[in-house]
Amino acid sequence: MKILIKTVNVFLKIGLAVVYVLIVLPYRFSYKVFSKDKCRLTIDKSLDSYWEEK
Amino acid sequence: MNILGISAFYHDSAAALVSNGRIIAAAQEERFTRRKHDNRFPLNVVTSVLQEGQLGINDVDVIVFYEKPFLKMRRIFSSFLWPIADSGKNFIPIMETQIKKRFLLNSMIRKSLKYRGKVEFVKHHQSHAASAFYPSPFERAAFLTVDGVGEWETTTYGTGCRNEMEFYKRINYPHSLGLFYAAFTYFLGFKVNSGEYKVMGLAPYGEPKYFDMIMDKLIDLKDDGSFRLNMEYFSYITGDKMTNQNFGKIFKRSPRGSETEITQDDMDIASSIQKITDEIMLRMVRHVRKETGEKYLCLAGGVALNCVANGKILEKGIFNDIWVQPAAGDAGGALGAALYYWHHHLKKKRPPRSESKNAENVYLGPMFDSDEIKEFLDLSGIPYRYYENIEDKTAELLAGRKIVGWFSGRMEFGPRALGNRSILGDARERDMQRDMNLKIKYRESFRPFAPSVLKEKAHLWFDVCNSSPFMLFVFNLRKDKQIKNEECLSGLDKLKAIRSEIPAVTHVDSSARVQTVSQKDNEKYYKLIKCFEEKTDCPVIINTSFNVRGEPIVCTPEDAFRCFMRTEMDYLVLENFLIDKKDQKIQSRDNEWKEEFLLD
Repeated sequence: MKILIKTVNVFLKIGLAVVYVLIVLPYRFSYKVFSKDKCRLTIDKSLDSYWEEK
Repeated sequence: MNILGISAFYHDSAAALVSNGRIIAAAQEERFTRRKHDNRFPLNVVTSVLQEGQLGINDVDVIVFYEKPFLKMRRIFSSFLWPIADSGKNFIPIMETQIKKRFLLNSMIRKSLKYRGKVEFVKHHQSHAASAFYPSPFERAAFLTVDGVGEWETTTYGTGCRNEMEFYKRINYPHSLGLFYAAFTYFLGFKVNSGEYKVMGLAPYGEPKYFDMIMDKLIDLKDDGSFRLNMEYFSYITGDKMTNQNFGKIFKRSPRGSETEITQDDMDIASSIQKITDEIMLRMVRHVRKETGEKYLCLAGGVALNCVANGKILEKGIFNDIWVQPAAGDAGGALGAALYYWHHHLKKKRPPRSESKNAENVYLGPMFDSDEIKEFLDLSGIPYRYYENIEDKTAELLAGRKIVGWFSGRMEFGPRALGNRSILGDARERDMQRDMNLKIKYRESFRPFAPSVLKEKAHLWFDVCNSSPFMLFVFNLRKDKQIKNEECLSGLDKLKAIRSEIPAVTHVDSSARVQTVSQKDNEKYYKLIKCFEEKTDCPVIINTSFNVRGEPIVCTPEDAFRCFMRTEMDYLVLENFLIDKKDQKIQSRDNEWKEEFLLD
């Protein structure tokens, strides 16, 4: 049982590393380079309100 | 129908049992494990609340968890995609923990409790809002929830009417008033999710000289109370710290080290962030009033524990009345989740409002009867005396300037000790604040103590706008009770001045975090203060939580006796049994607690 849990943990870590390299990094890069609209992450003085609809 | 609400895995794990809409029991796990803000699965509390309800786990019809695990995991994953996130070094460990906890939550709950029934999930802010609205005395009201973060939401408002709740609007992560305040808590050298009330207590020692600078650089606050944080200064999204180097640069300093000397600059920063919090809350509340048209307001979420801001809201009279959930933080989410499921999901009616009593919302923990206490004292060989009229005897001791540990009835739910697990003292005594901080609580000398006052006499001592049974509002002392002080003192020297007839509970800005005590809510505690008033003409006593620094509030008679022996308390009252420190075996000074409890 312990070996099974350890194996699952190792595969989980490898899987997450793959997700990071193949999805997270490219997404962050493209966001930085291509996205002019940082949408709700940055301050926008032109708005009257930051309340969002539920 | 029995519903068990659970909150866990962030901070202050808790469980609450609701049977046919009635709150049977609720408590935080930390009280049982003796580990402050314990975030582990609340197994001990579940056992305790089921015992209180005389139920087995499979008598529970549904277990409701206080947030949606997949939504939360999605938010955490998404935040790594943002370019404002720090490097991805935490991606694997954070996501690994999240996946294990969230994916397996359902089966983990079943397995831990050997439970075969249904498990449901309610959103974090729905839980908060329900914990505020459903137990409130209002048939219909607006609600406002403000905290660190749930799944995505950090702030929400809406209305409740009978058993229905409707959410209007929200502010989403990463813009969060709770995390904004927590960032300053971190910067000032206190623990996040624990030291926020220290920042609040420190604020009156300083001047808000950073107010404009913070408003200009760190936050964009709109007239309607909505806001966004300038994330160039914060690193809590995926980092290990709350603030980054840019934050330090604008204050021209680095974060204060834990346990180092508190400077005037620290106090000025605390004062500034408190003033901004007051301002944001006031603007939000005005907006909620305008948008909802409701006359009453219910507050919950960790920021609702900021009793200075609460006092300001009440004072401005924006709403006719305000009700704040006594366990407004995440612990209260357990209760809210259960109530939301019962009233909103199952559409069950709320009990008539006249039946709602404050006591039913706060004295929800375990209690120990006289037989159990006597057995503990006898078995432990602890000398004691029994008093039929223990309230009068205790009042006599307090009037004689003694410090008394007071243990009575059911333990409080939420962070405040409200007269059932309290350390009591004479508020008229000049040096009592310093002595209790340094000799009893072993905590920072700047921290104020709170007064318990007879409800019907509160207006004679404080500028009260309302009753405050849960110690969640700060009021100013009445001018005629204040003592004019000509000395010009600054910083912690302000502690040296005597500001009122009850100096031990008067903060340096002549305010106090008041608990109003009524006979209906806590008969025994009320009688004690009444007896004290008969002897002294003063209906006010000091009430501080029964613990030392870093320790959760005591739960059992054993915890109370251990805490009593470790401190310089003079007497301990366990229900009607009085224990005199002088009668106890002389022990070498017990400093074990310093290793047992990490400083908060």
